[in-house]
Amino acid sequence: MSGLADEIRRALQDENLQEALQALTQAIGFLRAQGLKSLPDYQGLRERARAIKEEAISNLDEYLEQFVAHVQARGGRVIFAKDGRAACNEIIQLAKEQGARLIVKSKSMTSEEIGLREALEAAGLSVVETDLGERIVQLAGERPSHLIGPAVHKTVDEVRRLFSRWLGEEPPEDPAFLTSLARRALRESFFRADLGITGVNFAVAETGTLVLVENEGNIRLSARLPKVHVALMGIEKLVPTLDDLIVFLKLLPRTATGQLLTSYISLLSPKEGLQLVILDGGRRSLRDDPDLIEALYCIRCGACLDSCPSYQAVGGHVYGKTYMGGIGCAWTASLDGLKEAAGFNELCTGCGRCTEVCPVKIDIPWLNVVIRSRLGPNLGRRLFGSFDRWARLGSLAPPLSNSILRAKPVRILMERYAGLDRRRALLHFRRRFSSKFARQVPKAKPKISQKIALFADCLSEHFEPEVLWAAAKVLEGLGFEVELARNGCCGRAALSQGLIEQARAKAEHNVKILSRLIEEGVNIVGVEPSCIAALRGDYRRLLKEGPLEEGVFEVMEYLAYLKSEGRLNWNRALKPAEGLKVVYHGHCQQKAMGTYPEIVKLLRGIPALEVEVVEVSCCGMAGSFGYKREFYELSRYLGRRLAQKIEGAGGEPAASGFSCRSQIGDELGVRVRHPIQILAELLGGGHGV
Amino acid sequence: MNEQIERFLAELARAGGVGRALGHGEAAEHLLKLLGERDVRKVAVDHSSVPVEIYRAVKEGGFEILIDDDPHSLKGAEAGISGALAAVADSGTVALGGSPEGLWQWVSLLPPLHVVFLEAEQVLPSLDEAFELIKEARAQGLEEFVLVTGPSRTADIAQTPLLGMHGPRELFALILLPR
Repeated sequence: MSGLADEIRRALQDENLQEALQALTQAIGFLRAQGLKSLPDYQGLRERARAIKEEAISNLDEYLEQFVAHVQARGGRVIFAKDGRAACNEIIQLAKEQGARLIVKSKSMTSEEIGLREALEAAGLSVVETDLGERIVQLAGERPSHLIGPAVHKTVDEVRRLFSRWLGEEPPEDPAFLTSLARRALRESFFRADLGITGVNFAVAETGTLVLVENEGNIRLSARLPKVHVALMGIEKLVPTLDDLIVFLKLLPRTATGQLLTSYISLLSPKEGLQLVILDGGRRSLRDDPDLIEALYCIRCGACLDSCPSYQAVGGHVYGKTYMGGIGCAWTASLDGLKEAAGFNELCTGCGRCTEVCPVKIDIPWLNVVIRSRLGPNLGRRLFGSFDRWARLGSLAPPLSNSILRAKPVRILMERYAGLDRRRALLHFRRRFSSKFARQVPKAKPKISQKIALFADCLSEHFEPEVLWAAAKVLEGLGFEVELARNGCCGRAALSQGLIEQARAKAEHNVKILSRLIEEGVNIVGVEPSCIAALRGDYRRLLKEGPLEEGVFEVMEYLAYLKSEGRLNWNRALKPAEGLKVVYHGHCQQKAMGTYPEIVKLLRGIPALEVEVVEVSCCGMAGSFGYKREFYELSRYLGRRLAQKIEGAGGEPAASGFSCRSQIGDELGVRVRHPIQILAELLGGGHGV
Repeated sequence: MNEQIERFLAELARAGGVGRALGHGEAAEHLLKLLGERDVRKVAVDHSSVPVEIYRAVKEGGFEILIDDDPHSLKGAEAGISGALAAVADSGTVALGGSPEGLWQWVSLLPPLHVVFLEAEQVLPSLDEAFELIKEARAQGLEEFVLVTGPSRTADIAQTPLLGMHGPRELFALILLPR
């Protein structure tokens, strides 16, 4: 595991890589948003794409049979390969039979998965990568660092030197010149080659068509110039009909690069000389795995990677595998074995951005939880997963707990045995909110009695009770009768550590308690977005009866709701926020739940309050992520990026997530408030807010 | 010129290509000007799909015309000229088709310049209509199709966007307006 920490450090310290990754992510993010804007009914198309994949994968063998029959009828030869080694051997054999002296190859994830180029070269065959980025990486003897930009980590000068070695010329340090040089040299290779290798983006069962999506034109050349075309596809590439294909053609280019369509989309007809290698390579086992099957729906657009905070920061090399990021974890676990995926499984912070952008709506964080649960708990995971239990213990005698935990030997032990990085500031135990709240002297009943139940999350309960006090006070001020929901831990901590059964038990407990309240007409409000997201979202994975879809709110969201209903007339009670500027950072789960825009709108409606939002995807703390030794530096790196933006905006930082507040607080050395605390202040003092 | 054609021209421009809507009389002249400005001598022409008057104009223009469908014989072509099945207004796309190793394939791929001719009524609103047409063409025996949206492109060196990586650097779509 320390190997991974080293890899992460190396990536974070590589200034050129950092600059390139940031520029690439920013550009693609912008273009993707533009591309999707031009798509009427994007959500409807995603639903259709998902449904097509579900159906196609569940009837895979029938579609495969139909497809193969069409290919063979048109003169193509079909070779089934049960694994990567078999596929490589078949291709080596047929290349030798053909007497292939030069092979041109275009970019294909499947070929990288099986190590095809390396295998061909080891067998003494000469292979030229023809995608410009892949060619650069091949010349450098490296691996691609990014799905869209394989050579994004290379400077112009490095490319110049590689080309100089390749062609024996001394080209200038000019991307346009270097590109035209590559065009000329590779064009010669295309004409000389006797065999071309491509992947396949989609295979249409009803027609036998091979669909290839590209921008450079090297795939068309590889498939059509040499007399033999070897196409390599995984069995999951099938779509039933041409009409189904349209759906994916509308989605893939847009989510990959923001293009409406790529420069070339080839609908290749099988012909004499086609050697189609159809690879299982662990895919059928993935299909037969109900918890991971949706990983097979992936169309490799890379949108999940570009929206992943970890991937954005470290790039592809750190993962060390063909399939990277969150989605790559499920693929690696199924194709190469569970252990192979262990290293980067925890690079997933569970932020959920990937699922939002996925054109086939793959629940990638859940796939990672499943893998984590199969990897089994270690001490660190057990510790973080049963966080609620030891937090209760710690809150019994806060001064004692705090001093014990801060003792140097204890921190060293915690680092060694539980992986908790000793450089990370620890949370500060407090007396529990609930016990104090319950002991409060009952006040006179409010005039309009409407009960509301406060969900005391473990973090606020034990470490930041003032946030819950602020919520209680604001709600009471608005005329609500506030009571405790008497909930248990939401279970998200356990879930994030892959402790699915523990999380399920907590979910069952909470749903029993909370649904009783909801049935009585009492709404539940909480201050911690990740817990609310667990109740409203994650429980669907844990409970047959599904999550709590109604009656559970983030407190700020609930106020926004009241306001939209015209039931929140607080303008007279609110002190104008003269001179106050709030820089608000949204929690990843707020963005996933869709509560973020409403909350920002509510804040912006507060008289005289200046509100600025920072558009950074994740603070990098993400619960336990920022505490873990392997990820501490990555976490601080992400935190610093966010903190710089907040400082640049110039105002008081505010965040709804506990993790986000600790991360920003650690970086800036200031106390960061939940927006409800700011509201409580504007509504008048009291309760020690 | 209708709204659909305008949309096609605008989207093609966004994809890095150039589109023009021309009267039948102007088209040949426009083509000769394009070729002349680029000092083109060798032209690969997919004679089965270009309008007769265009083919005649190129022939009479004194160019060396390559019409052999062996790609090796087209190595020196400085421009490729073809017709198309359809154009798609939504995305600025040109749909081409034919047999897998037909001249259309090479003309649209090998030379640094590709000029494609379309009749105004070939401009369709969206990918859906283009696929309806592709299905009809398949039924009539056409085998292979390529959707071309702008010139060949790359940004693999230091994220510098550049045209003409492996395919044409320039793509012109000339739409012939009804007489």
